[in-house]
Amino acid sequence: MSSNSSATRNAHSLRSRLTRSLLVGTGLLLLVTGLILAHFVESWLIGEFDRGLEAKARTFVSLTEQEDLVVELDYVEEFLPEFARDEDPEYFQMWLDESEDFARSPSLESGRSLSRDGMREARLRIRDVRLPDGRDGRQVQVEFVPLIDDGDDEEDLEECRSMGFVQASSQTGPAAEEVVGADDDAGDRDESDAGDEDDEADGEGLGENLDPTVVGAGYRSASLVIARGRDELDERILFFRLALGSVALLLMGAITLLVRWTVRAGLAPVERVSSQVEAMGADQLELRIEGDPPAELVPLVDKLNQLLGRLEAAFERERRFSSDVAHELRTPISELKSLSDVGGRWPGDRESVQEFFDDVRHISGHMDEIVGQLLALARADAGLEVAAKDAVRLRALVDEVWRGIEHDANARGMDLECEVDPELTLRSDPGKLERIVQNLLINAARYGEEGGTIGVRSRKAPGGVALSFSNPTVDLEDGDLSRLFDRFWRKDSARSSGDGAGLGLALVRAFSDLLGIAVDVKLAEDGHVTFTLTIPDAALTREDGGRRVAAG
Amino acid sequence: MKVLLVEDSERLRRSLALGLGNSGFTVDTAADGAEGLEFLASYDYDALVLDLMLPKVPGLEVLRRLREEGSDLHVLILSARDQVQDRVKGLEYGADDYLIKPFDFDELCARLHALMRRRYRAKNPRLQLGAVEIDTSGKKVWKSGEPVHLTPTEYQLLEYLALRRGRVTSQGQLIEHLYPSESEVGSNVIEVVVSTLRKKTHDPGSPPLLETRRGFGYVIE
Repeated sequence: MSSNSSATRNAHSLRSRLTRSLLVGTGLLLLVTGLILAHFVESWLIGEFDRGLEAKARTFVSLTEQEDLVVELDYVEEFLPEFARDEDPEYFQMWLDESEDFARSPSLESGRSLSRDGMREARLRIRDVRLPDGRDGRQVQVEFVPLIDDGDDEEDLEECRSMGFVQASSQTGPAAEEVVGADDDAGDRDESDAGDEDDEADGEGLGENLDPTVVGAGYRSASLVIARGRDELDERILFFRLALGSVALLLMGAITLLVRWTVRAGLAPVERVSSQVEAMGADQLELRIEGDPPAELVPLVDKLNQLLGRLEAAFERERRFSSDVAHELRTPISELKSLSDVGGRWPGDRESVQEFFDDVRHISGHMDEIVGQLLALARADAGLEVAAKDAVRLRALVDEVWRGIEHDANARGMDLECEVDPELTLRSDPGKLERIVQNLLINAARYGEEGGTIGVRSRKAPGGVALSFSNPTVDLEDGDLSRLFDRFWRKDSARSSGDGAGLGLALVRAFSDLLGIAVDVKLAEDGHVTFTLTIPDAALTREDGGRRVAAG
Repeated sequence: MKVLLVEDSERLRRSLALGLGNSGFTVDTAADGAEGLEFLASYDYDALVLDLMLPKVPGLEVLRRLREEGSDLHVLILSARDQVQDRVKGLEYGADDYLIKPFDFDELCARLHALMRRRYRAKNPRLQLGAVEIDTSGKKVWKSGEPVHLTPTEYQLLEYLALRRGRVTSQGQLIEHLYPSESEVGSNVIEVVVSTLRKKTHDPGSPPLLETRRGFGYVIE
């Protein structure tokens, strides 16, 4: 992890990128959720507070009565001590007809007033306020008409009922009661408002929700404001916020750990693969990436392993080629060394000296052949050979190759019998075809039975043309046939002849594969061995262009 | 010193046989393992130079069989550079030394001489026989400090008898030791060589060097 390669940086940033986006995302989610939650809870808390205020207001409204334009508030300190205490008291104040200061809570010093808003359409209103003692609070303001009382509730009730009116209940809210509307005679009400104490109900149903304007003159309306400190409310809100905040932080912490862990675990396969790759060196090409990679990494790992395999194979080929060259050349080199050591020591032996020059010539030819064959094979192995396409007249090719080896072949009494159709023309790679024919003929001339005849024939075969090379052999066995084309394989007798390296037939096979020619070998009862090249029809027709063929 | 060379490369065989012959060895050659085993069964040798890569019977197998029959013939194996396992096996099977191809001819000679010394337990290459001194590495002979000129065959015979000091060696053994196994050699050739040798090494003040034991052979005491 210490390297600063760009690849390492990227691996880190993948993890930190994932971690960051996940954390930011969840963080935002938590934040939004928290805010929404906070909003609803706080609204509820405030609502509860307000409902308390309203209830208190209703209580006061129910305690307020008027009779003959005299209003009475039945405030008993014992039952509502909160308005009189010294510590964090509540306040109330009531006005009549919008201006006359009627009642105030004991907590409210004279000279001080609660604030009051002009209310036009609304009957009830709650808002935040600064209390007289400086604390923050909330107040409710109610506009109502105090209950009209004529002294006898029961009678009033009877009378109302008999006249068809229902007495309004002391409930806030416009839907609370049925108010049978005032007659049209309402306007004919007795308008005297000077202490008419025993004013019997004229039948108007009343409640604080009655619009004073409908009621008409003769009744007083009232405004009530009750104010209460909101310290406790604010404390609750604060407490809730802190709790929510702490929970959110804890959650965030837990999520951070979870995200970190998950991301690390999730990216672990990538880490595994990359640490395996890092551990691989050029000297350990046999290694492959192991383990069970996740689906996303499978193509990467497979491809890498494939490439490693190809690399290993290439190195192996390289190594083998060097080793083959060294191995095969050691004998010619030893021969050269020994010949020159001995020859140099005793230069007087003329016959030996003459022989020496012949030997050197032969040996260098041998080495040349070995190296050439090895190189050709190595190139074919590596897929570097390209099959050219040109017109090749088979008969002429065989004749020419034979001319090159005729002399050495005749030394063993071998001769050629060629019955190839002179018109037969191929479209193939002339150079490689020449090598193939050459190797087959050289083999036959070197290792065939002395004095024998090498027969080369062409004939029609299914799918193309068959070109066969046949010669008598001495010690070839059926079991040898499968090994004939192996590299460096030679029959013992061939081995000690001092020529060749066992590569000729391997080259024949490699080049034939390249040209799309099938090679076959058969051993007859009489010891004749026959190599057959089957050239496909496609090579016999006229086609254009070079064709690149990858071998192996 | 009689040596058997088993090597499948014809050119190597030819040049080594020539060189070793010129260096005072008597050389038999075989081209494959089977032929080598035949020679080993038929003749005595002072040393065997054995190539590991042989047709018919591989070098290691030849060695194994040789040791199995109880022979303690000194063996020097020739191997290619990359045949470490085979060399190790060869040494384990009882080879005495090895050379990696391609090798210096001089080195081959020196190692063969070392094997000879071991065979005859003569760590010191110089032998003193009365007034006659023999340097087996340099192939030189002195009589009372004066150098003596000997033909290769004379030298070989003298050295052989000197190394087998005290042991009687028959004419047949001498022929086998001094000449290639399948060569035709006249029966009195040894007598002629011994006689010439006696003349050359004769020292008036010392007893005769080479003694004849009628019916048995020759000996140097």
